[in-house]
Amino acid sequence: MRTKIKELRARHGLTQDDLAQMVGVRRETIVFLEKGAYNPSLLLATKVAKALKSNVEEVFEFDKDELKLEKIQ
Amino acid sequence: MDDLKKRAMWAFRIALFALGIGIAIPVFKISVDPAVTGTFYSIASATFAIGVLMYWKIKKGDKLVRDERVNRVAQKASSWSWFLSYVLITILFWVQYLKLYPLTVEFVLGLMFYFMVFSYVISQWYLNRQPNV
Repeated sequence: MRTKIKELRARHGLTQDDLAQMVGVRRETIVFLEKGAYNPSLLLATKVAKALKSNVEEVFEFDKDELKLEKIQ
Repeated sequence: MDDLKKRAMWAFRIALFALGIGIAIPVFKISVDPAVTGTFYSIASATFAIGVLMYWKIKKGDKLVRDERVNRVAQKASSWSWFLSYVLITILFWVQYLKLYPLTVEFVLGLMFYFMVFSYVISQWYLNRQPNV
């Protein structure tokens, strides 16, 4: 998973602390989110996207393999 | 006042209160088991340590105590601690059954009391360092 949080945050002139306060999480969580190391809940992902005036698909990007669906039998 | 600061202040108040009782018992010659006084000192030192830890976190820039990641860490740490305690109980059972070491009720209860707390704290510390929980 990759994220555009850092880029979008800079575009909107927000610090990590600002974004953390806006979405109601600790700054540490934003750090992990920016690195693409932490998988957020759907609610947090939506809140982050909303704070960055964007949508979830734009903020969080996945590789094709990560989004691959399993075949049902 | 933010959440973490409030909690830190409460930790210091509780520590001071427990320390006060611990000091008052011998000063006013209240007849209780010496273990009771020791327990109050333990509560005071533990809550004081928690308060210091919270202040250290505030200095680092943290304001919130809990968010979804912290909750996930706490849940996982609890289940790890529960499992480790289960393993320890199993080991203690076999130690007793095979008469490898003479176990007393006090020893087992004391060991479990500290082991459950330490295994939780260590699990929490380890999981907190992991990016994805």
